[in-house]
Amino acid sequence: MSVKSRLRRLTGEAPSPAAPTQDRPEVTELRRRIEEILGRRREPPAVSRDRRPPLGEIVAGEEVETPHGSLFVTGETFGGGTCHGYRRVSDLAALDMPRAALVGNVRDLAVLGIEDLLFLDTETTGLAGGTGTVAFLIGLGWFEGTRFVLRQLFLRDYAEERAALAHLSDLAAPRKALVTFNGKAFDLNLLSARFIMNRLTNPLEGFPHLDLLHPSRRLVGARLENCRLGTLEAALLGLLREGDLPGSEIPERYFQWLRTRDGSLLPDIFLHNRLDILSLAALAVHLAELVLPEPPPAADPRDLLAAARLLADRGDRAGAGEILNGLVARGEAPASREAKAQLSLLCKQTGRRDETARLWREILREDPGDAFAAEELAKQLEHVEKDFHAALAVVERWLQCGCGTDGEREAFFHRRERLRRRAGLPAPGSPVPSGDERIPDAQAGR
Amino acid sequence: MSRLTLDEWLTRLEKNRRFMENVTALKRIPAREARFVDYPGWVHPRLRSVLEARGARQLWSHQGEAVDLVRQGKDVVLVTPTASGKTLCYNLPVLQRILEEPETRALYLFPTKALAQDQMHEVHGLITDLREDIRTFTYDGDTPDDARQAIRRQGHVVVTNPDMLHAGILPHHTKWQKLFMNLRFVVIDELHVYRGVFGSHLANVIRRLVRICRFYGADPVFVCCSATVANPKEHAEAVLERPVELIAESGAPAAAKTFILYNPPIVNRELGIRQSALTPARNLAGSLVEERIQTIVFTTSRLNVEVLTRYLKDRFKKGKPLPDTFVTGYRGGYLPNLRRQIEAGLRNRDVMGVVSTNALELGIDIGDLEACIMAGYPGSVASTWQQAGRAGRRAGRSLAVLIARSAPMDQFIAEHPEYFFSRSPEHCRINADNLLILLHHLKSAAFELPFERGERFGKENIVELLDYLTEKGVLHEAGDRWHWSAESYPADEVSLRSINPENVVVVDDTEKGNPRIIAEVDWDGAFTALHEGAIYMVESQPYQVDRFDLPGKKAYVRKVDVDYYTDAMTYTNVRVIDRFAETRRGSAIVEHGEVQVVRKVVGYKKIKFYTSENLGFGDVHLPERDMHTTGYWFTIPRDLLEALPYTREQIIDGLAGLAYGLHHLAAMLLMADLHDIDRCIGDKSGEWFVRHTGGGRVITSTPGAAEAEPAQEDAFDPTVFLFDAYPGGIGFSDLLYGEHRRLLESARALLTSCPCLHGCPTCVGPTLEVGNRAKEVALAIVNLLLDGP
Repeated sequence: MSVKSRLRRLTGEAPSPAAPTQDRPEVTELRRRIEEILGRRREPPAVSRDRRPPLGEIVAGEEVETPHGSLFVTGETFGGGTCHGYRRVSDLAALDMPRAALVGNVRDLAVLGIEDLLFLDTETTGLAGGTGTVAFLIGLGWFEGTRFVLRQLFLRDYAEERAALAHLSDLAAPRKALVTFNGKAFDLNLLSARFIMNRLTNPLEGFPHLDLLHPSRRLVGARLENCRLGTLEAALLGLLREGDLPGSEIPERYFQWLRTRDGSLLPDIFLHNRLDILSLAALAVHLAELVLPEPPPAADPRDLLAAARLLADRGDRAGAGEILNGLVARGEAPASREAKAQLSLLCKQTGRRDETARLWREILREDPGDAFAAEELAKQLEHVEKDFHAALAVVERWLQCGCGTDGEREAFFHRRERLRRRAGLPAPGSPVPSGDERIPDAQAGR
Repeated sequence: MSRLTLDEWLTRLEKNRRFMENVTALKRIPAREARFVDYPGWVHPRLRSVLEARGARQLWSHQGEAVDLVRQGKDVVLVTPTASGKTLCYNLPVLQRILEEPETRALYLFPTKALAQDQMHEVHGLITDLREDIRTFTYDGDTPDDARQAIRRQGHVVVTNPDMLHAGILPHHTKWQKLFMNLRFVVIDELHVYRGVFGSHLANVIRRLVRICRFYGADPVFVCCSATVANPKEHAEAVLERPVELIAESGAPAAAKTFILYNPPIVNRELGIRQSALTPARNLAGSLVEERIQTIVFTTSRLNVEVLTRYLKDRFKKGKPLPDTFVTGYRGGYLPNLRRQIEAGLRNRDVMGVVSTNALELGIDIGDLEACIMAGYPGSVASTWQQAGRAGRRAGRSLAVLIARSAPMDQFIAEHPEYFFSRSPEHCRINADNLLILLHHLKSAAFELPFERGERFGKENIVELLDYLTEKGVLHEAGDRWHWSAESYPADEVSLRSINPENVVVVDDTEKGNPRIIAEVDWDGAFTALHEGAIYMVESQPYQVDRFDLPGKKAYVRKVDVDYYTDAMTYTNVRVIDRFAETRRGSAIVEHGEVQVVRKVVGYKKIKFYTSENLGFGDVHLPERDMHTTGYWFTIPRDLLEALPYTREQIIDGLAGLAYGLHHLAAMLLMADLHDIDRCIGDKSGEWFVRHTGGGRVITSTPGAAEAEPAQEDAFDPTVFLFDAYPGGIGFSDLLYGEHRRLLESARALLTSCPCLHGCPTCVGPTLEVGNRAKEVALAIVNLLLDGP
């Protein structure tokens, strides 16, 4: 008998599948050959713990039977008063579905109710993707009234996957849409592969899917160092995870569990997943609020500018206009200037020329060197109003500020010459006041 | 002035006495008549008319035979020459089936991306003519992400390479559900390329493919095509692990071809040195290109491509200005864009001369060239015919010239032309159960689908291997199934082509602040080509390596104007790990088993262009690399050698010379590539080995250490090692062990019949390297070994 199997006997460790065959000399021989080729030494056998508490003692949950076998499921219901970061669960249940649909660009979502949503997040044996990656913990959540129900489907071993997928199908049956964070690229892809591998029908196929990663990137991503869920929680949701298990350590924890059956390895994973699921609901609410006509006063102006841009892209000019007007009213630079600029473009699209001119003049009053406003105003005066003198005045004034990039100045000189011609002033090449001449030279010399 | 046609040029050449003196054979291979059969009745009339419109009024006999067998669901291997319409043999039955059952899917495997592209265009052309909604795509590393999903769902014919199947398709088979459920055909073209390590990997990839197909309930027919090799059926059956029907009789016509074997004159009889093969290659190619006869030159190394390209470019620089690509190099390591440009240039005849490694040997579409010059025996009869086939695929007469180098194989062929022309080409060998390769693929297979108890995968008892992987913590057993249980993606851990999948990129840092990637070099090649001080050439422009960043896998080079190139010097040291068998033959102990091989690049030589003068040496400081493989070796008792009337140095030189000859003869005997095996002289303990320095041969103890103490040298039991040049071994060593006596007898024949005085590259290697007495001593040692003391 090999040293390894004797050790296993003494420690009472579950007999490894290798145990029955490993005494045969040719196996030892084979192993030795491989090890020599690989140039590695044998690793010492994993040290087993004295006591390994059963899973049920450590994580509150129960064994669920399905026609495809059993699995371990935890259940928890959060009352409306439970807090998650800044928000209470009852606030989360008030998610504005049409706004959420708008944010995620998932039209079918608008007509659904909050109870139709299935919040989903998985913990997996790796991020590499492909058929060798398994979702060993499937976290699900949904609203029942103002309460939030959480279920976590856990594979105590790979053999329970079929049962877990079957149970997932049961739980998904009453729901009509999905909410995830990066689920399009990851979780759903992975689950779809798992259903195929287990020859089961994927119940989630065809579900409208609100993947919060993409709207998060659009609305708040630009001002954050990254767009990870943890970063968003800290920046937006008022949630700081303490002692949270980093996602990168989760696969190894699970492999350790498989090897040792040590239940104490698992609560961290369950907690991590539970927070993820709750954050999905909170993040959905936060993003949907940004596109309300009257967004929360605490919202970051940069997010609101992004929100206005998103609304405008989705064809909701009125909504975008309301957000931008709100920002102008708040009067905080530099957001208010940016809001005016965006607003002016919206007005330009709808042909409201009095409004555009007013906004550009306002911008120029605050900053006479604003190239965008000067150019737009000059263009409108020249091409629409045909008031060449007024346009020329705008251009001259901007040039006198002596700012802008070389390219911008080049364009403005060009515009000035054309405007002079059209206004009947001396043509280019004719003597011009020397003071005027110096400016381009000075620029060119830079 | 009018230019000569190839026929006129040949007539003139045959009148050139000085050239013809060195021609050992000139064979006019006559044109061959076609043999036709009618289209089978089952062929869809529209498909038939499309094929007819493209010139196939009837089928050639082998095509008829092939399409019928494939139609019947038989796995086939087709062995016919270049331009014998082998693609029709699979395209016809595949398209036929798709017309009948539109869900049908087919997977085509080609060894290179370029070949896959070519084939995709061909199928695409047929489909366009058919005016059917049949989709064909290439799927490889260059396929854009947004196109991939459509290809997975809609591609009827997916054209890819084994590497992509291994790392991109099989591990994601669920995304390819539609393809695998409907997979009816798998085509493996250029089957002969898959030998040695690559073939052993492919066989395992096929095991995995079959396993996935079984999961989806598919049982595709395999259609293999191969260049002429000695054992096509055996090889196909080794790769596919199932019985295969062989189709070997070509019914295709062939154009007339003149085949010349040219042995360059001996320039130094004393040293047995012949004129370099590059010299006549340069003259012939120059003269042909001058007449605008489109010519391809094959050389045996990347370095020679660059050297010869430079010579030819220099020649055409003198006349009136020509486009830069008028003559050009071509080899792996050139970036894909440049290669596509050169291929197109060959097709539209902008490029009149190309110097290539065997990278252009396979069926990349470069049009019909007229002349092919091989500067050096390509290493196998099969490759020689493939390369010769690049000239004159269809058109009138074509020319192929094989120029022999001084190497034993080349000389043997040049001096025995009848042997070459009558000989059946090489065997392809693989060892799909190479433990290391098998283990890699078992991991990938487990990643793709859990292993069930009782499942088979090759010949080894896989339960033991699965248990081993379980112990290593990458598999986990649950419910009689072994599941992948690690974060990694095992297909990325191994490359099918060499054991180390890493590449080194060559960065041109000439313009500070504007670094440019100019080439990629495989990991092993990088040690000899990119060490600091090396001259690295791309398109005959020399670059000097300033810094080789090993961990960063980058070499920084800068353009230089030098008149030399560099050649790396390496040493090899072998240690025996395990003996599989041992026997006493005559006075020697002969063994085979597992060995550890340590290699190190220690320095380089600077060699002047044109004159090949040695301009000096440089040191290289790179870490050594080691590998476990299988080897065959024999040990000669020290006292017997000491009884010979030579000094110790002379005996060591004699052994080195003998090993040189044995190495070449072994490659020939095994019908393997010279680079598949390697040699070393040392001591079984691995403590002593013979190292070749700038000044001669010395016995050295450990790498880099000084010469051994004379007292310690007495413990040296000289051993000649020949070993498989791949980790884990491909199975050559035990074959050599069995052929020990024949090998030595061939060596004796070689040594006694070689016309040189003191040894030459044909028998014991250049005397500059092995000394003046090597031939004599080597013969004495062989006699001792064969006849006993």
